[in-house]
Amino acid sequence: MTAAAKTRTNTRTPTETVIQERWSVSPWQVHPAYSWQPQAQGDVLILPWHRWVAAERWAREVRAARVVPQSGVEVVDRHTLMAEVGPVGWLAYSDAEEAQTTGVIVVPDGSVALLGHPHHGDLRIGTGVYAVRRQHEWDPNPSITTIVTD
Amino acid sequence: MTIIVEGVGALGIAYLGLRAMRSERLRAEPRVDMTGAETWGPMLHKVGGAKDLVAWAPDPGNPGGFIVLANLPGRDGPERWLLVLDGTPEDDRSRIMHQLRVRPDAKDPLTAVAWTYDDETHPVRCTVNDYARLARRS
Repeated sequence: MTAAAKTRTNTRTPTETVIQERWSVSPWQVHPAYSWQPQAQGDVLILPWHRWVAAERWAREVRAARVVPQSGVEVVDRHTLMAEVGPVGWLAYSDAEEAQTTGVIVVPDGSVALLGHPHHGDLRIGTGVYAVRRQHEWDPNPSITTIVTD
Repeated sequence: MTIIVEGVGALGIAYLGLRAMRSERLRAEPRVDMTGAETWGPMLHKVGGAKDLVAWAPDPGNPGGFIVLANLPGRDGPERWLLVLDGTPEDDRSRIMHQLRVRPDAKDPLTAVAWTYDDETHPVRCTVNDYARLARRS
């Protein structure tokens, strides 16, 4: 199915049920900056984009990325990208509002990016190029894409 | 009078037959391996017992987290849902469970969750192998 075939985009907050459970890993521990590895923050997935996948588009988008300001930039709803160490690049897609992939993060060698969210722990992102992907649900109507937000 | 009694009797037999068929179907459905279930027992109760579960798997990058594929009642009959545990605890150290509707023929929890992050319009796809390599979920 192409993007043009999708006539409507729904958003919804997932049904939430609190599970009482002892937390065995400290949520406040500092995690390493993972390089070229996927990480998830709630409804958002950071997927490595290697240069040999759609190489021409990869090069074009890496070149087009702009340096993230010190105040950070919102890459998806309330998920904020900041530079922790060195410069970090961000390219927002023009159709990010409706699309599942909202843009590309570029972390040069030696830099570390930080992805923050009010309800989720920070992700530290090491060297690499990453596609920022939102989560979606299945809908019996194939013309509807239901984007999940948290 | 005889007709009424015979009618009621036939209905009763039909009911018992259908009930037996349903029990047989439930027995034939794959059961979930309950190993390690004590840590997430409360979640199983939330979805109404093991007969509604299709499969489960540990959630990569989410220590103590898991992904459950279950059939839950929907408006037009049973629907297949993914139940996932949030990677970040609440202030009271509990964790939130999220529900996501997936394809009715989904059988593998990891494949199903990978599909929710896949975008067929973008060169970077999300396969089950990509999701299995998840370094961290918060």
